[in-house]
Amino acid sequence: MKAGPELASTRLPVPASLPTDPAEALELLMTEHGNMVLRLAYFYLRDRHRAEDVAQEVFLRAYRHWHRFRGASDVKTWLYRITVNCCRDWQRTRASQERPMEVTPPAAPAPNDVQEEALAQLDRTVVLEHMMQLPAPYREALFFFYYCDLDTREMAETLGCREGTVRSRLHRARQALKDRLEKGGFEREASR
Amino acid sequence: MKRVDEALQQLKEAADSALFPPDLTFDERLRTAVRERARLTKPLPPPRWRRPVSWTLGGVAAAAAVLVLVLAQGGPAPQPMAIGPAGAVEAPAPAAPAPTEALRVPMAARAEDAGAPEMAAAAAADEPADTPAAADLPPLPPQPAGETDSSGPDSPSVGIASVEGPSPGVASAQTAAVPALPPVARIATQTAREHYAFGEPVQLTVEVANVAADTLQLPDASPYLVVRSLADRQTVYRSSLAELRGLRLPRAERFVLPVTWHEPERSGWYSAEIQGVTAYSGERAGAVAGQSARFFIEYPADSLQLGNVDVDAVASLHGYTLHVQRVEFLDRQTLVFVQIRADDRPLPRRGELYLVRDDRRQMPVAPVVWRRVGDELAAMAEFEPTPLAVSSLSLTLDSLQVGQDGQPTHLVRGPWQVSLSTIAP
Repeated sequence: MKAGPELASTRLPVPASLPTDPAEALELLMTEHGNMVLRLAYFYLRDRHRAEDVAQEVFLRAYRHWHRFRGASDVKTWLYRITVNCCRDWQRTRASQERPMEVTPPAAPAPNDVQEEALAQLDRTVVLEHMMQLPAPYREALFFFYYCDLDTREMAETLGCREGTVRSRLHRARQALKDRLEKGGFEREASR
Repeated sequence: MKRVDEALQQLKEAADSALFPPDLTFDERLRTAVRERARLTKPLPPPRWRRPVSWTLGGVAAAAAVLVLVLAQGGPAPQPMAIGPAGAVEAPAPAAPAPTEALRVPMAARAEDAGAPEMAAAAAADEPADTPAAADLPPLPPQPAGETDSSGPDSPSVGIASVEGPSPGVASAQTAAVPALPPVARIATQTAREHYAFGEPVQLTVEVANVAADTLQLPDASPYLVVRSLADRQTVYRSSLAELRGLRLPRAERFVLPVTWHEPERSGWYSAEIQGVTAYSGERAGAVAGQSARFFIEYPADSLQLGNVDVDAVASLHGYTLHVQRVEFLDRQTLVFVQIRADDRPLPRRGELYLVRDDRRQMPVAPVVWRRVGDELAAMAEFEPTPLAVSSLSLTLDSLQVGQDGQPTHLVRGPWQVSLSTIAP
């Protein structure tokens, strides 16, 4: 389980070696990070086709600039940063309107013997739903921390801001989420 | 809160099932598309500080071979063509173009076309902010060994960007002794003048030049012209250039597109650049992000603080001392003269300066040139002019870049901050 944002987070080790040939690197990057880059693009753009376009662009940029990747940051962080920049570019150029991302509710009522799990799943979905309604910086912070498993330093590198800003955003995001959920009776119901 | 925490810890599972389409994967179809596009796009060569020695030697050898060949033929070395200064469109153009009318003219008509190194240097400096090179932080950018260094916004006046850099084994802009190969295409953003009166429309020109052997093809997507404030780097104007969509340019032709920015709302320094261009010529392709052309929208008369102030104030931290000598309040700039001293530690190579005006952060509007003067590092930073209404002003040195043997090694973070006196109205 991941530590909360107030606690010092741990860093995964940087991969020991990466191919020097851009074509080899491209294959490796697409295999290891393709899905996450695509999902990240979808998280920002909320449109499958756009997300696919952006994901392709991300890997093309990585391919073209592979020789300039100096390994100072994790290759994953580097790719995410490109993805975020591509998505922001897209949003700016297309002047895309914010539209809420749909959260699909749990599929079917669970039988009694798995009622506990069903409730937990409901909790997760409700939290996710409220998270997606938070302002973009908060939503982004929670997504990178809890979904992408980035620590605050990596998030700062990815989002192009200071680590202190990331920590503060995470703290406020969790507080805002809690406030929203409390207004909806989530915590009160839980304490019964 | 505990329940929220637990739910957040399991966000991945929830998002996978509720947020994303179930079949959203980077599948073989997408991989194939990337491979196909990558086939048309050559990777950029490594920067100079990482390039294998054999590349540089290979480039020198290739250049020497070309030189010998050319001398043997008794002719001058072929010079890649470059876009000339702003404004001039010398060509058999029939008449002055209407504001939105584009011109297509042969490049041979340009008498001032020359200067490949200048073009190549501009192209080399043209690293878009969102490229992986910029993303790959925090390593420091390489600087040539020497006594001067600069930091700040893009180079002024005329921006030229090459579509593709030189190939491995061939000289690049970063290898000064070896001439660069001509790029596939060049895009120049120019302004007719560097200074405009407040409210006066700004005339810009976008020029695409095919300098390759094949026909140049732009993709069926509109590039766009972006105008940014140099003080805060905010985009203030964006115009889609549909005229460049799908553009085909025969060999050695140029395409000139006049664009007018009608309503600049604020005075100050701006840059204009082209973004979102990819060009194809045969199998050569590459992205372009135009280097900016710089221009100034004048402030209304009698609205600025004018004069000189001797500040002579210091701020010390981590063994480094920032000394602000004086400030010159001019009608087109606020010039701040600084020195940096190091106590028993290496003298830095450069620093990141900004000005805080009534709590608004202002970046330098021109590259800051750092010079070593004796045991100190000195610079003159150029900022926006200071309006009369500004009541507080301070200079901040955010960080210092320290290096050894001509290469950057680490950053020393500040800030060092000095309050500056303003001139009373």
